[in-house]
Amino acid sequence: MKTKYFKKYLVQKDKIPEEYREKIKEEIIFYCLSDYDSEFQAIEKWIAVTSSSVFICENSSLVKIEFDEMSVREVKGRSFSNISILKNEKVVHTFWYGQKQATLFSQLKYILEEKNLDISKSAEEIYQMGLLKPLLKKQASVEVDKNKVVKRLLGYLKPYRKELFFGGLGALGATLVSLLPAYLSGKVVDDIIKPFQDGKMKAEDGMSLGLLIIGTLAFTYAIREFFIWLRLKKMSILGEKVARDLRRDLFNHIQKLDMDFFANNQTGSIISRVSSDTDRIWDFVAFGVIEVSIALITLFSLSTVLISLDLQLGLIMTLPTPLLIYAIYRHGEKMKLMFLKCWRKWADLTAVLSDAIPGMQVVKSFNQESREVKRFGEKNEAAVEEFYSVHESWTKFWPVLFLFVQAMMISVWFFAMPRLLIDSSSATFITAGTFISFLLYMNMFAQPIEIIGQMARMLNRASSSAYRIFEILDTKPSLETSEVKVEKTLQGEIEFKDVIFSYDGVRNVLKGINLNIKPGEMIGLVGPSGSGKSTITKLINRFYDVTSGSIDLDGVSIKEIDAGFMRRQIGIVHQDPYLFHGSILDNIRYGNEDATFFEIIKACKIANAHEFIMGFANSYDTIVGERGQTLSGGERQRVSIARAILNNPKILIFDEATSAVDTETERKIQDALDKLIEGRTVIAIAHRLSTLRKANRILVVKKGQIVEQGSHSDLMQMSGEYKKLQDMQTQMHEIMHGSQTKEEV
Amino acid sequence: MKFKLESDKKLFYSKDNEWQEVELKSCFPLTDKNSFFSVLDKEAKEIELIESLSHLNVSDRFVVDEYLNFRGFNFEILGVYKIEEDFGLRHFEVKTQVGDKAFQTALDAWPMKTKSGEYIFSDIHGDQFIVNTLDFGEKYMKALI
Ligand SMILES: Nc1ncnc2c1ncn2[C@@H]1O[C@H](COP(=O)(O)OP(=O)(O)O)[C@@H](O)[C@H]1O
Ligand SMILES: [Mg+2]
Repeated sequence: MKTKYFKKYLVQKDKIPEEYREKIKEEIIFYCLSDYDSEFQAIEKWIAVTSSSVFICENSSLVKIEFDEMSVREVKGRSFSNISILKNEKVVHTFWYGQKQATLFSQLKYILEEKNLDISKSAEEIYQMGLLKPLLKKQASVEVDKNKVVKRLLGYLKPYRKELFFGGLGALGATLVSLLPAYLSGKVVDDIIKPFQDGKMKAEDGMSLGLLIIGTLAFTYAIREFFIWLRLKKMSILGEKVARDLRRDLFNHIQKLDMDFFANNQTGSIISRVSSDTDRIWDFVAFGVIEVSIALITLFSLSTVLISLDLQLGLIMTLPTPLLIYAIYRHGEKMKLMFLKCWRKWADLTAVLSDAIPGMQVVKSFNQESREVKRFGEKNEAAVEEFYSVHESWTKFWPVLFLFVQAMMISVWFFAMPRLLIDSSSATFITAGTFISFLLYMNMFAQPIEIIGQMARMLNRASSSAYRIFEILDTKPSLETSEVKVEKTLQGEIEFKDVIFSYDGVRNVLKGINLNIKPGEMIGLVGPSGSGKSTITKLINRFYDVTSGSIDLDGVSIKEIDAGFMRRQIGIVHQDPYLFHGSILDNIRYGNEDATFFEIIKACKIANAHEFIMGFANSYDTIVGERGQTLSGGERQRVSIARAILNNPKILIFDEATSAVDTETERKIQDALDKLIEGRTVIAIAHRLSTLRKANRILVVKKGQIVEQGSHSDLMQMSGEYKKLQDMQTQMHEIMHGSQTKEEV
Repeated sequence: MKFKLESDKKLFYSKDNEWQEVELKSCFPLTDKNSFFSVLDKEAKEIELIESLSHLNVSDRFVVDEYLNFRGFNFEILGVYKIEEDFGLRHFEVKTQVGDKAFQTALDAWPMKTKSGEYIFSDIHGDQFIVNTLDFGEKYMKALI
């Protein structure tokens, strides 16, 4: 799989050639490929980093550049960029690369700049992931063996062998029984009508034989409908069961996956896998599988019957069939392209809709209604054009195809006619009855051909749905868990020991954090955005595992504590909290169904949420979320604070909880916080430093390190980063006030 | 002289007789790539806004053109060998002005049409491929543009 990605998609080697590895001798900790020269011509130049130097490998030879006194710089372009190594301010080497290699080169730059040789993943893994990630993001988070997809899907049928057996029996029975009426019709002509007209049979005898045949016919139809009923019922239920099992497995599995998975995949794509992909599978199992088998059986048995009825006429009908199937297949492929074009235009059309309708206020205030009408009109026309050509194509195809089928039938008539009219003793003579049976069989021919022609498309659709489903099922949670898990009641002590953490294995987001937080302490985290503050809190919650170092809670390594049990004792309030669709009450007791009404009201009072909740007509039973009452940012914030403290967590984390609200709301939340910190360990990340006035200790985080710590006054005296931040905020405050006064004037 | 270029195409700008590393960025790279450029310093702060390159002297113009040619280089698709669909991806094998290339887009990523009637495909790695007129392989493109 990986090799295919490199060969076909990336068109470059999946690892550094062995000869360079041998020549370099030292251990390679990182390598990447410079794929262009300065003239934008494709080349292959490998750059390998060891613990002391950089090697440039090209045309089987090596150039070694020692680390000392080396500096790096980068020039970025739209399609090509480069990184240069400088010594004494002079460029000694420039590596050119295309966009594909950009991730790896930014890692190279980081490694050379920071001289960070402490890389947690193998060079090969980093190289491959750096290149594959964009592909895998679109395609699969894991590699699923495509050839096995359909087989795996059929594996889901296993528990339902009984249904499958009866469904298959129904299908087979219905098909075989369907062959009878045409045969019987021929019999009526040859064995009753003909002998009677020739005067060889009496009317009464003919009548009784006829009634027998009619009776058999009636019985045949009844049996056939019974078989069809059996098949439809068993198979649609079987399909539902398989789809249910897939949905269940998917959802259960999704709940187990790490936050990493959700960061890499779009919510919409995950949702559609659980809903529409499983639905397609139902369709495939319930109808597709059987329909195709029936079509194959029908076509095969029809051909056998036709040829055995009459070799010449049988061959006229059967020989062109593969041609027909191929034509239908080709038509399907052509339609696929046309539909693609339709979708494209349709997407344009809906884009205008989803643009203009939410933006209606802007449209109206700029008086641009007519422009939007025109824009919509153009896209509408363009979409319809495409639909026209689709209709044009299929409306033409099917009549032509049927004309061809009819031409086959006419040939049958043409060849049969003389043979019907010769002496019955001749070798080529054909009875009227046989011919009638033949005609009726011919009419059954078209439908299975149509189905088989569309088989490829159906199989394709189903297997791509199955693929998307297995992709999730094959994603493994990556957190290590130790064998023995402690269900520990926390006191609230948190200790970080030399914690280094990296999301991608190269760039360290946290670079050696040492931190001891005592139970009941309130810690403020400040620092520029991207410095790693949220990452620290995510590690405490164990959404990720540390790359090196350790985190202990109350002296026990976080890896030894049952993650679920631990997380329940940690409350988090985010900047933009998520409320589920449902009542405020349900949202607040989400993590604790057993909470009493009294506890809920108490939590809301602490969170300063009680009063505004009581302001709604349905108080705590007010429905919120998508289709319910809309809450303001500050209100949602306070509901989520109530939710977080209902469990009486020992550790409370506020991640920029007050950044997005106005000053009045901030004051209310601030009040709530002040009441909360009693008896808990609190970690508050704040944008406005004023939020942290109650903190025992403030830590300043910068580029993944704690650069300063102490109380507000300690830090102000240090005249370092914290003072800078404080001064900046004071300035901002003044600027805002300044501009306000100007406006007033 | 206000501009100079080093071998790695790093652009330098002189102000008060002191050279500093800069970036020259077009404000409207797709709508009008010949006017309005911002000269940005290392901290991405604007030092100067250039309305039109014609205000520069000849040698500066020469340097800036070379720089912009490199910076704004886009692949132009001259012909299409094949386009295939895979799960979630569309795979292209094409001929460009700098040789044959393979690239992939998301299945639902449609090309963007510019005012001048060109189509721009953005691939999953962030490259842009421009389609104007094709020497061959037009039938593959038909459904996409
Ligand atoms: N899921 C992720 N995958 C990869 N990188 C991430 C992820 N989340 C954050 N980062 C990176 O880690 C760094 C620190 O992020 P974060 O802890 O959110 O910073 P802060 O909260 O201080 O603003 C940033 O450079 C960010 O881009
Ligand atoms: Mg953050």
